[in-house]
This record gives sequence, C-alpha cells and structure tokens, in this order.
Amino acid sequence: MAKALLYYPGCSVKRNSPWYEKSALAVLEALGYRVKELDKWYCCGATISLAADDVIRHLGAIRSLIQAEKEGEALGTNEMLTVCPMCYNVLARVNNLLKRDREKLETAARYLRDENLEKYSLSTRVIHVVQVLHREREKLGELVKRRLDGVRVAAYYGCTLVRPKDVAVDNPESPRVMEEILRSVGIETVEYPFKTLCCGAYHSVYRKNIAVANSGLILTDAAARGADIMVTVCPLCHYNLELAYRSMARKPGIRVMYLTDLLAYVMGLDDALSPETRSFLDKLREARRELVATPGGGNS
Amino acid sequence: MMGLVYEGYPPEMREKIRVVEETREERLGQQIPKLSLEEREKLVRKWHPDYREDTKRPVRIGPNKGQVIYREVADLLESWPAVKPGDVDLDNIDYDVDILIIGGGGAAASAALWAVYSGVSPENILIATKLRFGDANTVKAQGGIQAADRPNDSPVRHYLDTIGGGHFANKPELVRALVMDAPFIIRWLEDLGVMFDKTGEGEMIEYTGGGASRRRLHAAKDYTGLEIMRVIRDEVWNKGVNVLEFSPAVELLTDPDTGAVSGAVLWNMEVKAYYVVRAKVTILATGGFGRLHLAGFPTTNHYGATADGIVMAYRVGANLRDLDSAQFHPTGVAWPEAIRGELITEKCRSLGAQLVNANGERFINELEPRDVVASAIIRECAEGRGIITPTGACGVWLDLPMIDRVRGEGTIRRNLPAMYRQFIRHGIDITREPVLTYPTLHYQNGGIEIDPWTHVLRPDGTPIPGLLAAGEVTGGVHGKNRLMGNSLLDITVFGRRAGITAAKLVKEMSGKPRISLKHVERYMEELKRLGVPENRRAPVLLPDYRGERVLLRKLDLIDLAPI
Amino acid sequence: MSSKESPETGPRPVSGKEEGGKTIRIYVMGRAYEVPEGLTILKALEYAGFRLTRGVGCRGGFCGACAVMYRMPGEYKLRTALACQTLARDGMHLVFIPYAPMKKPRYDIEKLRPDAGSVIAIFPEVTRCLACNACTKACPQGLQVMDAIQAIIRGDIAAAANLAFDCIGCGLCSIRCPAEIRHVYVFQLVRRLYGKYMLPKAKHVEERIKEIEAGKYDEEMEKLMKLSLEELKRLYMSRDIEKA
Ligand SMILES: Cc1cc2nc3c(=O)[nH]c(=O)nc-3n(C[C@H](O)[C@H](O)[C@H](O)COP(=O)(O)OP(=O)(O)OC[C@H]3O[C@@H](n4cnc5c(N)ncnc54)[C@H](O)[C@@H]3O)c2cc1C
Ligand code: SF4
Ligand code: SF4
Repeated sequence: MAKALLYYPGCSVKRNSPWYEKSALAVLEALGYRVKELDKWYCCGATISLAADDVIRHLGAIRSLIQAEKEGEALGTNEMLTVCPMCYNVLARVNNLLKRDREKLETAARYLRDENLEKYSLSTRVIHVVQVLHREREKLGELVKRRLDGVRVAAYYGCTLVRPKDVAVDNPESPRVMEEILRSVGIETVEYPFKTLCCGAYHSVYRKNIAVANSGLILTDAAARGADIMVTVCPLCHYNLELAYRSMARKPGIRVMYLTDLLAYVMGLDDALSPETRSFLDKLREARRELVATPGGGNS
Repeated sequence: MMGLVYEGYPPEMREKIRVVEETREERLGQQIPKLSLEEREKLVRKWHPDYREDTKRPVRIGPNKGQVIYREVADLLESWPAVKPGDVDLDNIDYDVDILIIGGGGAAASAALWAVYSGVSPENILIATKLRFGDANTVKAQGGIQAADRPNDSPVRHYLDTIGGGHFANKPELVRALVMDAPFIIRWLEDLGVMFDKTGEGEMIEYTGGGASRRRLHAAKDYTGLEIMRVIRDEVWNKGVNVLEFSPAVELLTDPDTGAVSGAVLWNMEVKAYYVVRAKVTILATGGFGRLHLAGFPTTNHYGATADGIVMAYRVGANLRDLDSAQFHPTGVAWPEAIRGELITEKCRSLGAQLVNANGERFINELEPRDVVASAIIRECAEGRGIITPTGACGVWLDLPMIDRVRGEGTIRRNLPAMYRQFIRHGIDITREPVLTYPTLHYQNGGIEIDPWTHVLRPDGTPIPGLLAAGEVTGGVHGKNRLMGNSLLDITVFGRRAGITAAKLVKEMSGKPRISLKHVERYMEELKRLGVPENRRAPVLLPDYRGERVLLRKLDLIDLAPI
Repeated sequence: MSSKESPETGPRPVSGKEEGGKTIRIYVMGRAYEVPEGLTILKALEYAGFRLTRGVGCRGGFCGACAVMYRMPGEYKLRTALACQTLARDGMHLVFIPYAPMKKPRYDIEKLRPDAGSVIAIFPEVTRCLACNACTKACPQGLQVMDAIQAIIRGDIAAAANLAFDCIGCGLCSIRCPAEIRHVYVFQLVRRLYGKYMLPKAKHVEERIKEIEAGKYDEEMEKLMKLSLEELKRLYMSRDIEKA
C-alpha cells in the first residue's frame, strides 16, 4: 500500500508559492507517497500572535488538527504534512499545547460541540516536508537522474523550523538535515554561520530595511563562501531573500530556490519546475560540466 | 443556521392533506380538457380581478378623468397631499442638485450610474429612497433577465413575443428600445461583475420563460435580481453618488409658471422632518403598487411598493396608462404564513404538479393561461371548496409530490432546488407533501407614460419638462401583461436611458430652476370640488399592518420616532 | 440553568382575553407582548402595534433588513433569524438588529486584480479571522461563512465568491465576528472580482451587439412596427416555439 500523507497547504503557499507546492508534491509522489489535501483546512493563525495562548487564537489550528484526524482514518495515516515552516510551527505547537494542557483541550471541545467537532483524541502528528525527505534520503539517492557535479549549495533554515526546541526538526544551533538530504542526492553543500539567522520575517511588510539587511547578509556570506544556490523550505524566507537580492546594489552570485525545486531537478521531475528555475539549472549544470570535464576533472 | 427548526404543517392541516394523498393514484393520468374560448372568457370575467366590475371604477379627477382603473389606485389619485403646501418653507433649500433620483431599486441605480458615465458629477446627483438603498422589488426577482443574444434568436423575435404577451397593447417604440438595448445591458452587467450562470466557455446558460419563443432568460442562480441590484448599488457607492435613505419623496416641485418639474419635497421617516430638494432634472423610479393589495390580494412585492410615484406624477399632469390591469400570479404561497404571497414558480405546473381542491378534485387544466388558472383557484375558494389556514387565509392544494410520482424520484430536488429549500425551511418537504396556494398580486403592468428616452408625457403627448421616469412605475413597455424576465430588462434599459437623458438635459440648462407647489394647490381645488374627505391622503408610503386592538387604543400624546 | 429562570416576567393584561385563538407571549427588547400563535416575528411585531420603518424590507427573505437575535427560555444559545422568515414562539426574547455598523469602502473595480492581495488591501481585517465559526452559526442563509473568509485568506477568490453567493447582506455574521470583519462588503467585492475577471466573457452577446450596431435588425424592425394589428397577431400566433 502506498504511504499516505494528509496535506495541509497553508495560505501563504497557496497564495504565493504555487511552484514550491508543485515541486514538493512531485518529489513526495516520486517517493511513493499518496498526498491528499485536506477537504477543509483553516489558516493556522500565524499572523496572529503566537505568544498568546488563549484557545480562541488557536481555533484555526485546532480545526485543522481535528480535520486531519477525521480524514486520517480513511487514509490510514495520522501524519499531517506541512510545507510552510510557519504553519508547521504553529500547528505543532498548538498540538503540543493541547497534549500538555487537557483543560485547554476541554475548553475547545466545549466550544466546538455545536459543530460536532468536540472529539479530538490528539492523534494527529504534524510533520514538515524536510522531515519526510530526511527519513527517505536513501531512496532519494536512488531516484537521482541528473547529477549536479560542481554545483555548491547553501541550506538556509531560518527560525521556525528549529525554534522553539519542542518542535524543532533538528538541532536548533546547528541543524544538518537539509545538508544530509542534499548530499544524499550527490550535491555538495557549503557551511556558513548564518543559516539560522532570522530573514527578517514579517518586517518585510512594514520595515523593509530590517528584512533587507538580514537577508542581504545571509546571501552575501554564503556567496562569498562559494555557494551557487541557496535553498530554503519557507515561502516567507524565500520572499525576503529575493527582496534583499533585488534591492542590493552589488548582486552576490547566488540564486535562491526551494529545496524541493533542486530535488525535483535532479530527479528529472521537470513538469514540477517553473520554466525560469529549470533553465537556470540547465545553464548552471552545463557551465559546471564544462568545468569538471576539463582534463583531470570529473568523471560523469 | 442558529434559528429554530419549524415543524411543518399543524395537525389540522395535516388532516386535510389526507384527501390529496388518497386521491393521488386516481388522479394519475387523469385528463382535464382545456376550456373553450367562451368558457375561458366566462370564467375569467366572473372571477379574475382584472375583469370583475367591483374591483375598478373611473377616476374622477386629474388628467385621466373618466379612465377606469383599480379602485385602490383611484382612491390614491383622489387623495389630499400628504404634506400641506403651506407647511413647507420653499425658501430654504436643503439640497440643490443637478439630478434628483427618486427610488432605490434597479431603475434608480442604473439611472445614477449612466448619468455619471455621461459626465454629471456624482456629488450633483441625489438618490432619495424610502427604505434602505436596494430595499425594492428588484432584489426579489429570481427567474432571470431576457435578452435575445443566442444565434437562433433575434431582437425582432423578442419584440414579437413581448407585444403578443402584452395583448398588443404595448407602446411599440418602447418595446423596440427594450429589445434592441438588451444585449448591450447584459454586457454592461457582465463587465460590472454580475455572476451570470455560464458554461465553462463563457456561454450564457439561458432558460425559457412563459410567452417567450426562445430560451433567453439569463440568470444568476435564483437570485438574479439580488445579484444585479447589489452589484450596481456597489458601483453607485463606489462612484460617490449621494444617497438619502429613509427619505421618500412626498411631493414633486414645479416651476410656478411653466409647470416644469424642479425637485421634490422629501420626508425623513425617522425624525419626521421634511427637506426641500431643488433639481434641474427629476427621475421617478419608485417601482410598483403590490402593497396596495388590490382587490384584497396578498402580494409578492416589497414593503414599500405603494404607488407613490404614480400619485406624485399625476398631480403634475402625467398621463397614466394600463392601470386597469395588474399581474396576478396564479400560484402564490397561501401557507405557511411566513411566506404567504411569495411565489411558487410556474415550472411546478409544467412539470406535472396538479391543483386539487378540498374534496380532492382537480378543477382546471393546470396549463391554461395565467389569468384562467388564477380565476379557477379564486372560484374554488369563493365557493367553499378551498382550504382555510390557521391564519384565516384560503387556498387550494398544489400536489407537488405528483411530479416525482410521474417523472421519477429525484425530479423535484433536481429541477426545483430553490422551491425545495424555501419550503423545507418551514418544515414542509415538497417531495412528500403538497403545498397550499392562492393567486398573489405580482406586478404593476401599467403606469406613467414615457417616450423611449423616458420623458414623462402628458395625455396630449407633450413631455413634462424636467421629469423623467423609468422602471415598474411606468406603463407601456409591457402593455396589459408583462413577460417573465422583461422587467429586470426594463429597469436597466430605461434606467440607463433616463440617466443619459438627464445628463443631456442638465448640460442644456443654464441657471437654477424655480420651485413651487402651485400644481398641488390647483389639484387641491379639484379635490375640494369633489368633496374628498380630508383624512384621505397620499402618497401612503407604507402599508399599515398593525393589529386592530392597538389602533383602537392609539393616542398620539407626544411625537416619538421609533427606533 | 432553566430551573433557575423565572417562568415569565411582566404582567398579563386582563383585557387581552378576546376573540379566542391561542396567543403566545414574546418579549421585544424585554417588554412582553401577547400575540396570536402562527405569525412570523415580523407580523407578530406589527400585530403588537409596531409600525416599522427599520427592520423590514422585502418581507420575503431576500434583502436582509429584518435580522433579529433571540434567546428561547431555558437556553443559553443566542440564536439569529430573519424576522420575515421565522415564526414567533412563546417566551422568545428578541431584539432587532436592523443595521450592522460599517461603512462601505470605495474602490475602483477596474483597477483591482482578482486576488487575495486586492481584497486584503481594502479589508485588512480578513487576515484576523480566528476560525471561530461564529459567523457561520449566525448566518440565516445557512452559508459556510467562515469557509468563505478562509478561502480569501488562501487566495481562492472563486471559492469565496461561490460560497458567499447566497449572501443577502443581513450583517449578522459581522455583528458576531470577533475579528471585526465586514463580511457583507468583503463578499460583495470577491463576487464582483470573480464575475468580472474570472468568469469567461460571453462571446455570443458581443456578436449580437455588433450586429445590432451594424443595423442588421433595423429594417425588419421597421417593417414589424408598421404591420396592422391583424397581421401582427397572425405573425405572433404562427411563430415557432423552442422547446425548454
Ligand atoms: C417576487 C418577484 C419576482 C420577480 N421576478 C422577476 C423575474 O424573474 N424577472 C424579471 O424581469 N422581473 C421580475 N420581477 C419584477 C421586477 O423585479 C421588478 O418589476 C423590478 O425590479 C422593478 O424595479 P424598479 O427599480 O422599477 O422598482 P423597485 O425595484 O421596486 O424599486 C423602487 C424603489 O423606490 C422606492 N420608493 C418607493 N416609493 C418611494 C418614494 N415615495 N420616494 C422614494 N423612494 C421610493 C422603493 O423603496 C424602492 O427602493 C419580480 C418581482 C417580484 C416582486
Ligand atoms: S453571510 Fe453574513 S451577511 Fe450574508 S446572509 Fe449570512 S450572516 Fe447575513
Ligand atoms: S466570526 Fe470572524 S473570526 Fe470567527 S470564523 Fe467567522 S470570520 Fe473568522
């Protein structure tokens, strides 16, 4: 039987990052997953204060968790897949909060009784796409159709995947999951100190310069260390990094894309790539191949 | 929905439904022959309100003196003004505008937008309406709007259908404007963002309407009027046109010498204060008269449909036409009380629903013309074969479950979803239970005579300067009978034309018009000569549904505005 | 909680025992009125002596003017309804909500794009939705109001427009919404964006307009208008009729 995942897309992916969704889902499908978007899902509430812990602010998240539990029965899974780290963060934290604090759970249940939604047995497991990719990294390696020898990639994590600790997908100080995924498909990674520095998050809306400053620093440093590409798994980080790139007078020689874009490319899932990403990678690959193909160079 | 759930029929009515169920098999396939022309004539003449002698009388005053019209309308025309000329200070003008639009339905909103498109500044347009902007018959139209835009159709065919449907009494040049502008209006509404029913390629899904020889009803689910109204209203607000709600016009103003219309007196229903509006052009778009309950009938109309426009226009000399006919829809809701008078679409009968009296008998071929079916239902009730409801209304059964019985389970849910929803809300499941029905007053066929560019005409055919009219308040477009879907078209076509004409007139006019209530004073002389009782006043603005007991005890000690 | 409630409040007039028929007692903003059974809330109020200007419009469930909120004895639920569509019940405590305070923002539809950004720029509060569903529970049309708002947040204008199509603008959802969303106008905007920019245009309408502008029907129309009544009748009776 195919492995199944209940997919929670999130607003920002639906609204702004259709190609991210495409490449992520394509890669998962190639790995043998059946990914089903939830019939109903609600904004996780990311834009609303995460700090407050009154139940009403978490209702969107709770509803989605309950929906996943309901639909999960038929699908034979309890894993709710997120691709946006912000959604992942909120949903996982709310789930943990309900697990820790039974009273909150009951308050929510009393409120939702009107809608016959009071029964939530806390079985839903919120999971981020990097976690799935990481546990499947061996299989990923087997699915490689194109090599990107000579291309160097910096992984950028940002905040919400690795903070706070109880929902972190990896060691908050020096995460490695993305690098391990990249290496499993034969891609060389670059180490640099800013991979968990905040990209500026929602500052991009009102105080552009903060976002531009942080993201600019991240890009320049990685580029200086020889990275051709910076991968992220977060639509907001992606937006800020691009924004910074656009507003920089001296452009660093580095391109921002989603981790899953790169994976889709090496796996030959071309339909899942935007034409620009694809042609960029084609060109880069050509250029590097010429380099490594010079006498004494690579072997492909 | 957090409302209570209804229980459906009360036990005493459930008891009466038994006979419908018991006779259903018997009635299956039973043929009721259509009446001969003479039989029809006899039935209609005896029972239809349009033909009954006691429903009408000649009006004894004004430009159409001697013309026979519905009693309720004649009474209004023979009424004293609601506001006495001496009580209004005309030297203090409250609003001084280019265009005053009276009414807040589809005709009014269309006029406002086209005046703006034609170059009049939105601040110089004032819409004055009785209730909220959009509380109007327009939002109640479900079926659709006609326009001959499919390849097998043509405006010429639309013309013929409309004239024939109107018993050839329509004013030809108005019909021509109606049908020729129609596709243009559809495109305009489409551009504004009306969500018409369409196929994936954008082709309009068009339906048949009674009397139309082609499928040309454009719909937005069964909320066509609501959808059109809310979109054009939104656009009127976007443009910044001034709107005064709860401020009906109670009298027009005229130039004391020329009789040209130059504004109106408004009355704020909430604080009961009047306002004087001076306007270069005034557009009447006040809709119909359903709430006059002609001949005692319930109505499908909104709360403010009280013929105010006709009353005001008549006093400045307008010609009225075709007010001897009204459209009664044969199948209005008689029960539940909550939706009494509302429509039960004709489609039910075309699908095979049968009309059944209290004895379980059919009494008319259901597919006879509207006036014939209505007459037969009225006869059954008058002769004691109707069913009396707990609230004292009378009706006959419309055996809807017959549809599924004949055409197969699921037909009702598939073809009559809105009807199903309307009744299930009240606990009545029309796939299993019949509904009680009685004719209902639906549409004002006639009204103020206009020319194709909406100038209001006197009986001699000359225009009254400064006054335009559009929509249900006018007569001539539909003759003696309106086709389904031609009224939403009427209000947008002639609303648009009124806006364009008004803009043109404004441009031609230099200086401010003069205002007076001289025409009212003259009219009052006539009323006095006729000896009309002083307490009969019009326009009436709203029907009065208060309980008798309260009215008997009513004392106006101090003047309070209701909230 | 029901046992603690006093059975009824307000004196019963001795003069009211006329004309037979069952009466019920409703409380209009706390004041008791005796009215016949079987009337809608709207008609019951009128029977009781209110001559309404606010809180009544089409009287048929299309205009949204007659929104009410009420509680039934022994219940904590704050229910909502349209007064013209709902029967008055014994013991009902009710208030009219004839207006939800909100001003419609002005915009130029020609300059907007059919996406979430356009809507949120005008109605920033949309992103404050907490998914509490109070709106849905309040909707007398039974619409999935929360789902419509959520659809906007995720950028699905088409879904939002269709979910909110049957909205009659009563404003009850907006009154109940803790995020203070102006649903009535938000929905108006999404429907127009969808109708204008996302539904494909009708080509056959465009073609017919071109024909009319080119004068294709003028001659035939002139001829028809000149026919005698008899000829016109004959033509009318003999026209072919398309099947439904
Ligand atoms: C239940 C029902 C179903 C219908 N179905 C269809 C259909 O399917 N297709 C179709 O084409 N037509 C249909 N019609 C007919 C159509 O809806 C109306 O004829 C048309 O909308 C009238 O538009 P109007 O603008 O002229 O008047 P209205 O929409 O009635 O507007 C008149 C406005 O004037 C205001 N007003 C009244 N008096 C005054 C005053 N003294 N001062 C200021 N304002 C005043 C009113 O409050 C109202 O706002 C239907 C009508 C009803 C009632
Ligand atoms: S969506 Fe809101 S405004 Fe619209 S009908 Fe429902 S409750 Fe009323
Ligand atoms: S009431 Fe307001 S906050 Fe609650 S679900 Fe509805 S739109 Fe969202």
